[in-house]
Amino acid sequence: MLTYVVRRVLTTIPIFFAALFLVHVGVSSTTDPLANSRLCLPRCQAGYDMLVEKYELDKSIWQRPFTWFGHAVRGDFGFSEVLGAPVSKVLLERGGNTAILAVPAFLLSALLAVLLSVYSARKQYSRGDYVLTGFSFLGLAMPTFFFGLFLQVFFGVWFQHWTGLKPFYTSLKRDDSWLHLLQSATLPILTLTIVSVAADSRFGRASMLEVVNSDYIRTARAKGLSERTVIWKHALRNALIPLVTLWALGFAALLGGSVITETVFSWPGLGPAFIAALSKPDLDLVMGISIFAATVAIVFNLVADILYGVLDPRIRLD
Amino acid sequence: MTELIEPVSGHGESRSFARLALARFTSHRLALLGAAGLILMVLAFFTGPALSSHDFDAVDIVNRLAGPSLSHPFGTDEIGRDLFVRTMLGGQYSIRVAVLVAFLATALGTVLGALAGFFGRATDVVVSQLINVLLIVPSFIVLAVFANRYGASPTGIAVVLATLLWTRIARIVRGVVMQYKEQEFVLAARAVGARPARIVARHILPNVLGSVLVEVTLLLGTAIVLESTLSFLGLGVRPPIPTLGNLIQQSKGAIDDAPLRVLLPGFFVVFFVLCVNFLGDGLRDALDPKSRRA
Amino acid sequence: MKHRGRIARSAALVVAGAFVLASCGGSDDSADGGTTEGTAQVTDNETCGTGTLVWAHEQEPADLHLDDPENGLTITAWIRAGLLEGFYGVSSKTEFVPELLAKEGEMAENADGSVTVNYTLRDGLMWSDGTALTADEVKQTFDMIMAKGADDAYIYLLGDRTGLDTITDITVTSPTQMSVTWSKFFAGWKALFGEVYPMHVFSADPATAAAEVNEALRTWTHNGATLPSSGPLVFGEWNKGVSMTLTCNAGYHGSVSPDAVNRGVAQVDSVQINFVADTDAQINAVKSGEADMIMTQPQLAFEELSSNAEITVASSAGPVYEHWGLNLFNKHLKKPEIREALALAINKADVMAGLYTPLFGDILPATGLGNTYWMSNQGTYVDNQGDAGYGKGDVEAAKAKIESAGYVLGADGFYEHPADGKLTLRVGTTGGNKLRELQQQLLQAKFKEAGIEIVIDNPQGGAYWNEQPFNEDALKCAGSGGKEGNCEVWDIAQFAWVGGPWPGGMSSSYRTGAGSNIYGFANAEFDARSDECDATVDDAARAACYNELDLYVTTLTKDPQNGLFMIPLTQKPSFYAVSNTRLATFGVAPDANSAGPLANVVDFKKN
Repeated sequence: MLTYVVRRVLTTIPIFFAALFLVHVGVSSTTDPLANSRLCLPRCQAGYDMLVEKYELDKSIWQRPFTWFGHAVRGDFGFSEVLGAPVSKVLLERGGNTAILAVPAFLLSALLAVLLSVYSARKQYSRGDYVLTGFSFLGLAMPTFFFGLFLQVFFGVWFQHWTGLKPFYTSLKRDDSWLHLLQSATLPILTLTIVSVAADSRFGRASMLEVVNSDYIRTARAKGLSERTVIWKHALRNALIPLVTLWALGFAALLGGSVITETVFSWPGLGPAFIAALSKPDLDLVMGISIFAATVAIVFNLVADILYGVLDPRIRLD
Repeated sequence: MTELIEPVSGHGESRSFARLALARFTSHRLALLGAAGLILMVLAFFTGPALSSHDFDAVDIVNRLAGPSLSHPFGTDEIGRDLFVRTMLGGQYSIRVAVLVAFLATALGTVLGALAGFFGRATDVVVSQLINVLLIVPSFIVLAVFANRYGASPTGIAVVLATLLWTRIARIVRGVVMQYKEQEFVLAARAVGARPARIVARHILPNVLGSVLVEVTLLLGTAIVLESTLSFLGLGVRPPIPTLGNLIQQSKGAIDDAPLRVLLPGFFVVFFVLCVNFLGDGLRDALDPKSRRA
Repeated sequence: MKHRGRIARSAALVVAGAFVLASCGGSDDSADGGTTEGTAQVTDNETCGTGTLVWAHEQEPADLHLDDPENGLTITAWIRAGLLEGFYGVSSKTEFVPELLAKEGEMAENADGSVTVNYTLRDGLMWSDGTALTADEVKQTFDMIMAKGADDAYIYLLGDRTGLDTITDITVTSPTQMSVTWSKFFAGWKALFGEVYPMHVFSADPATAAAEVNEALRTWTHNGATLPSSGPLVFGEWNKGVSMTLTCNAGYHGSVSPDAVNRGVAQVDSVQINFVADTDAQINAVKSGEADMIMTQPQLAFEELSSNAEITVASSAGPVYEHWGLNLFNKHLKKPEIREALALAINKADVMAGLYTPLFGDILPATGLGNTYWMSNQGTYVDNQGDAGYGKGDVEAAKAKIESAGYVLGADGFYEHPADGKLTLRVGTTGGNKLRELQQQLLQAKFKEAGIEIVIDNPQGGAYWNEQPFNEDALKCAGSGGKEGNCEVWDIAQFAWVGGPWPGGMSSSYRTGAGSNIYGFANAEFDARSDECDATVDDAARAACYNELDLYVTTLTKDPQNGLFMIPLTQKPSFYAVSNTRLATFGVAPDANSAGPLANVVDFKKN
């Protein structure tokens, strides 16, 4: 197991660098850090020169990533110009804010997905199953921003008009009290949850159905085990195995910053920071967020594989 | 997480499998509904603009932001252009993008997946690592970086999306090819000196057709949703070319005031994705040899 | 959006002078404007009020140092407008009005050609820490800005020291009086000393202070203490990524702006700026009571707020203007007839009616803008293009012009030239600005009627300038008179420039061979004349001189061969809306780079 982990990590390193190299060259070749300075030349020559120096714009774009890598491996991720802070500090703060949304959204959607899949599998082709299936399709089909904005208008504006009550804030993170934090985090968490539940429960339902219709469950039933034991103990455990990978990757993506949801709700997470960084471009921040997101993706991929092995004794990691 | 498919070897058997699949598919009510919905939508998108007397780019400032009327069934936009024609045309562009994405991603995925699966070794390492790179860099970053620059035209955005979305198909194809290349009928074909490309194309790929077909339908939906999401961030297809995505983006603020303007293009996106998903479900059931349900 | 930031920055440094107009140019079209006669409403609030004024804005500055290379944001200057005052402020008519000064500076021309201005500060000027603000501190500010390090480079970060570097002497004669001497007349003199820094908290040595100020302005703290304010607000707290709080300055010496009604301290306890990125989220924040006001880039989505009974739109015409810039070396555009045809066919009234009137009502003239030096809300404005018959959508006249240049209408409805081919022109701008994109589409449709094909060609992201007008080959073409480089990189650029109370800076992009002269305009007569204009001491004569310069730029009257390479479309004010249910009164928000909604923050009162 340990050798497996070590080997996995080792083989990942070159890919990791290749991926970051790709992002760096991609950003350099598609954007213009000097765009802001061009129009005011020669007045802002000093600022122009500073940017040329900082981003080594006089060198070839293939060469530039290496300087950055050099600093990064020594722990210096650079300085974010758009946010006016060291990248490492931005990652920590913004990452924390993103986690405030990502963790509850993940837990909630995982729980809901399990419950819904169990329900759908037990009552296949019932009216409830159709309704849930319909909703999860709708969740899949609806672009996230559409849904987020709808929640915002519905709870933030309309609900207030109808009832005079204001249960949730439409934007920003307000953390002066737990209640305010809850009021401002609820709508973005809800948006994230519904989007991931849709995908997870579709998958969970299929996986659960396959298990429920398998021979060993039929055997378990024939043995006279109670339906509850059969479903919750035997069926669910096996049905969860394929879901684990999906969850791990989904959670990694959530932690990397949900650009759309965070933007819609002006949540100070990694997502809006990334968009702001890209539009400038603030190369150090783009790279910092990419490193962070890539690391999270790698770690959770690995975790998924390990869990897979733990849950499914047939799979051996070596 | 590829679902493995039982070998299908003899040709006669495969014909009866096709018949069975067709029977299964036609008994899948949702799938039929999805197919019918798609056909209707494509018909509407491609014939709609001809039915209206308005041009998609004809400006009419006096009638800006008009509600639905006989002349403008969907109303007009901020500079008085007919929204019916623009929505239908937007649908055309969105479907073109989706189809192009599906085609490119499938082609790329199939070729790379088959190469990796059949030749193994170095080829496999290269392809697998390529897939891993795309897995590691969160797709959104790649998408945003490249859509920012190349996503302004429908073709551009399709290429950008396809370079990102080919990996699933590649993994499926790779898995199946690996599994089949040691099978007797493939070994037999090799023994009589058939060329690898021919072996893969004639003997192996037909087995993967089902799962790829399902993937392709889902890809269509993913492409349309991603296109509109990128539009939301201002990274998608640029006006004046309408797509469902940028039509929603342009009128999303009207959700409170004139909801119809945003709900109509929104409806087509949601309806399209629903239809392809239903279709995909039907195809999966129909083409799944393990399924006993007829 | 990007534009505004980018150009605003240069404008901050360039804005300057036209005091002349304060008396003669003041049309009284706004009720809350001219209070110099002392209307009954003038109040003098003595203690800080209650409640928090919440302003939702989409941009968050990286830090509060305006001259950090990546920090050229309008919002930075707007925030500082509530914190620091200077000699002159900018009024809602885009004119300089005394802020720290008791009266207009008195200018005298000396025998040696140098110019001296005597300034008198108001009595009782106070920093929020209780220290008196004196003329000494103004001089110290100047010394700090001009301090050089060992390497003979300036220490304080400032993009442009034009006008400061020609100051030969500053003499403080009393705590409220000083005189400043320039080696020669600088037309933008009123833009200088726009902010006076609290030098009493920094080191006495100018060079040490310069380094300290550079650091202190970023976080608005020095040695752990908040910088004292001379404006109505004091910097409070900055919750990065979320909001910034500014609190009431209880010791504020009061505003003398003609736009302000309250002469005392702020009537709210604090101002909170919420950084809400998405336009729709901003709208929802205002509608749901989470924000009391917005002042931001105009977007058509705000039209919804304009029609909302609980929201009052109170934008004022600002100095930013939209225009089409023409590449004089394009094979079609090099013919004056074609440029004139564009100007004739364009229908500015359509642009106004479709895109601006719905947002701003009638604060802008319905005929659009016809001058690049002076804006329509300024007393010196002359509609040069309108007077030449341009911008009225005269399709027939445009067609006649095109035909006179040898073009023949093709079967597809577009003109064709026997040698130069189809009359097709690309118009580009930075992508992602919806209002501007709609503007392109609207104009495109109009030009179709005149047989001109307009192709919209907006590269994405920040690449536009780099790839089109400021492309190396394109600049080479413009600089060499079309002999070198590539003259077909771009045809028409749609973007915005920032004018201001002193528009002399405009000439710099029209002069022969200037770095930002992307059009390729070269006219020695123009260059000489603009030097004369800038040296004209009399304000009225100088204003008229700029109007004459504009004739080169927007018409063919002065230069029938190369004139008319800019088609100004309209001023583009910021969208300023306030809740009339949550606010009892609100301030005038001059839409200028160094003003904004906090310039008159004393007039805001919560219900």
